[in-house]
Amino acid sequence: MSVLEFEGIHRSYRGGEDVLAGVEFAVKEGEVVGLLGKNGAGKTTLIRIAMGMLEPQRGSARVFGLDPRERPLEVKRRVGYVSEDQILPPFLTVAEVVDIHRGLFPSWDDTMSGELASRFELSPRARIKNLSKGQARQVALMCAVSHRPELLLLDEPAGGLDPAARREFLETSIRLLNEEGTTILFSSHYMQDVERMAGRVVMLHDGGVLIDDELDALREAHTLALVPAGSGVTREQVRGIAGCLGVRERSDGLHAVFALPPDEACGRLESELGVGGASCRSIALEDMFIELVGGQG
Amino acid sequence: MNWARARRDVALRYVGRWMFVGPVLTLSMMGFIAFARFSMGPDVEGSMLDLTLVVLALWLPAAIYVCVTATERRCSRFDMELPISSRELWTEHTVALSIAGVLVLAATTGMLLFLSWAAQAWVGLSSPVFEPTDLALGLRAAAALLLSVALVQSVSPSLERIPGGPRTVWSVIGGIAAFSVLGLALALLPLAVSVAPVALAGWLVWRTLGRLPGTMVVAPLAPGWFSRERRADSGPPGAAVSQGDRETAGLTPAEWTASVPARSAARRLWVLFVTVFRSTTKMPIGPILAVPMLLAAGFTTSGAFGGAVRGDDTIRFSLLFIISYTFLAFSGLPPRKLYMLDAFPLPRRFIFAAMFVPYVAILGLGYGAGRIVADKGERGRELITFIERDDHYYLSAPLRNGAISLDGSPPAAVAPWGESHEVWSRPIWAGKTPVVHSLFSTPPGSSPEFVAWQITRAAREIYGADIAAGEVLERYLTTDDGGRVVPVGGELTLAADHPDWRVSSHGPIFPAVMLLVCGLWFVALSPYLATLRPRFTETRKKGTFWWGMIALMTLHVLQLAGFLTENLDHWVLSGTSMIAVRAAAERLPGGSVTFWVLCGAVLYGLYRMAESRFLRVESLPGDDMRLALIERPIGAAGQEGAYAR
Repeated sequence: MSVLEFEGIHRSYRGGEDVLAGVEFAVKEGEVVGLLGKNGAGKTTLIRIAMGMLEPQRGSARVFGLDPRERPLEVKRRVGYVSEDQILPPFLTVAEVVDIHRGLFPSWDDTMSGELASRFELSPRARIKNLSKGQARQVALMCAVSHRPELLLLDEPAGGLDPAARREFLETSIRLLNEEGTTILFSSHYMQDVERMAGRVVMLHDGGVLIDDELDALREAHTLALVPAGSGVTREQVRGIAGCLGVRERSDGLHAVFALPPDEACGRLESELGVGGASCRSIALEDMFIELVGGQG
Repeated sequence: MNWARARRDVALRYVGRWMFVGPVLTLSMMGFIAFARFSMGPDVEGSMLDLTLVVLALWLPAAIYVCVTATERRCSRFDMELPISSRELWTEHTVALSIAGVLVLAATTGMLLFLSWAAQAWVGLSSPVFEPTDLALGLRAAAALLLSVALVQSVSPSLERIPGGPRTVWSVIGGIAAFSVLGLALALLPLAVSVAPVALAGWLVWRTLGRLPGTMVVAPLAPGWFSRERRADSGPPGAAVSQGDRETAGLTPAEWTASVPARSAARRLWVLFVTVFRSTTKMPIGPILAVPMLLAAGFTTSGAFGGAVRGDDTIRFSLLFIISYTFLAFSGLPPRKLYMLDAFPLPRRFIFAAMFVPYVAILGLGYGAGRIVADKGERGRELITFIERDDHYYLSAPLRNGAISLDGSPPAAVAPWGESHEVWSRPIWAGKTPVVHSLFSTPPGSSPEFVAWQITRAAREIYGADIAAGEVLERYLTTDDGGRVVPVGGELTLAADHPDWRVSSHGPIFPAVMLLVCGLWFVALSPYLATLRPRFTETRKKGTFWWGMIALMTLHVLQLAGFLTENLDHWVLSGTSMIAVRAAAERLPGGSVTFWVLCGAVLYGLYRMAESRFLRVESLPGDDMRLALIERPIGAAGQEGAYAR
């Protein structure tokens, strides 16, 4: 059953250009999905649409089968949300923030919030405005997960956290929640976090979904092929091979990403273009990100 | 000193609108002053009070702009990161602030000069309120303004922005008050004395420049006057970690949970309400300006001023448009800060109510307080009196107890025995047909019996009390040697002799006032709320907001023009409005109750109209840029103007 569904989402801002142009994917119950894309690809917009904070100009978003714009309260009560630019009321103390959340979320778990607050060494008496950015983010994360949400929407949740706190949060709280069945969609530029956490990756590019696959399948079935300079083939020729997702010209030749295993990718290069000296290998997520969305795709 | 950077300074970027708003504020204040001055009578000598009020009208708009709206940020973080010395940045901001203040002051001085000219040329008035010496006053105020700028900017000069907080607020309020006194003192002294504050300002600037370190900083090393200890590493201005916070940071999970006891639902609702209001309002400047202004507005619309002075509410209907304008000015920014609350499962309706209903409640509170004062004033005063004019004693009663004649021909007052007399009337708008008229006129030629009959009618209308005409004739009226009907002892003492009499209701004025003020506000607010979607351009959003502001201000200015040109009169407008409200209520089945319900229903409908637009507002961080007159962006550090996606 899909917890979160995006169908043909279009959304533009004041410039008129579509940030999202027909985005379509669904997240099933219990899945952990990493949302990737370069700056401006529309990750934050998509998550805000799921939260009902933005309205799609075309298409629809469904969370638990509900329209988040029409029934925001029912959706938000079941969702935990943290974003990079989220600002908690700066004049409240941590205790007041917790108490407000306790009142707003019927499923609030005091034990979980106490454990997280203690682990993050947060003072209940401290005012939000007096916390560092990282501490404020920890309060937001604590509030987002302590009501044991059915869906966690995290938009760059680890920004501002030091590596230890980031690891602590991701590996304990989120994993714990996921083991209990919480569905998670999170955007991040930390590829290690995505590789560590996500079971599936959705990559947004040019307003649409460029890649939507299981992480393991992605590793196994995608290849970076290096066609050496001077081999006499052009970008367009390589791009024309079935299974090629993108090609970039670099100083050492052409870098092509194929949605094919390495052997098959090299085989096609040789059979279709007569390129014999290409090297093909499995591709790491970060390399794939750079090769696909880094330009000249 | 780089002029291009100085021109970019926040003080100069937004001075244009204050060069419009400032003179309008001055115009409004001068309207009040002139009204108060002339209600005392035309022969009163110019007083210290006149001068004080005129100095305030001249100075206050500039002082508010310089001390409240444009002072805070000395330079941008971007400028700080460039290889520019703190002296340059500080000088540019101080110069920009001084120029901006002088520009606003020049605009308000221009308005005073225009009013002086208009009062003499159009109305033929020559009064201490409208003296053609305002240019010299303006020069003196400019000297005080330069000193205030230098003084404010000499506090923690190396900080990139003056930190907010109660101390800042009280300092600003104290500063405005102190410099108002200075401005007044300078107004009493020769113009040459104004050189002294300018010289003092120059010395302060020189001293501050000498003490500035090489670069601006975001937080001081040591606690300063404006703030407690702050961390200099990161975080927003005002960040501080107290000893208590540190002590409670190492709690066990159980201790931590125990330290956050669950509050009652009512307490939690209150915290939520305060959270919404504070999150969406520029604190504490917003409430500090809004609360006194709206309390005063409510107090004025209640009729407290006129009611307490002369038995007739005079200016209560003269300020409705400017009050709506004030409401709108305070409601420009809050919807754009919605993103701060969007993650909470809070109904938008609750948020809308928490943002705006407090302002309505404050207006109502001021109204209630004003009614208490007005009612007390009315109880201690004779509302039915005689006015001696042109060698005749005319019976006078509050105009609100009169009537309106749309065809300009009010019916004569006819006594049961057939004696009839024309009644006093006055056009509602000079030269136009509809008139407001008295029901209790006693023009020359009225018999003592007729006068007594009119007094009994007036007593019934005003107090709901019955008094026999014979008793009035015997106890209160006599005929003097010239055959005139005059009150015994020179004045009527009906109220004093009947302490049990209570003034009858004025009619359902409160719902009418609230409907007009808040209804206009919601009508002007709705189109603006409809534009708060990312797909609308910033120009469109601001344009829609400012069209609403300009429309309301235009209505106010037109009304003021009516008063200034004597086509409209505060007293007549107030009396006519109250008669119209009462007449409307009387014509409705169910009377005042139905009127209340109808006004409430229409107002609720308009509220829901604005609310429905608000429900679909899309607010993003970085969206809360400067819009209203008193607001500043408060987005997260580094996000101002950003458009996160």
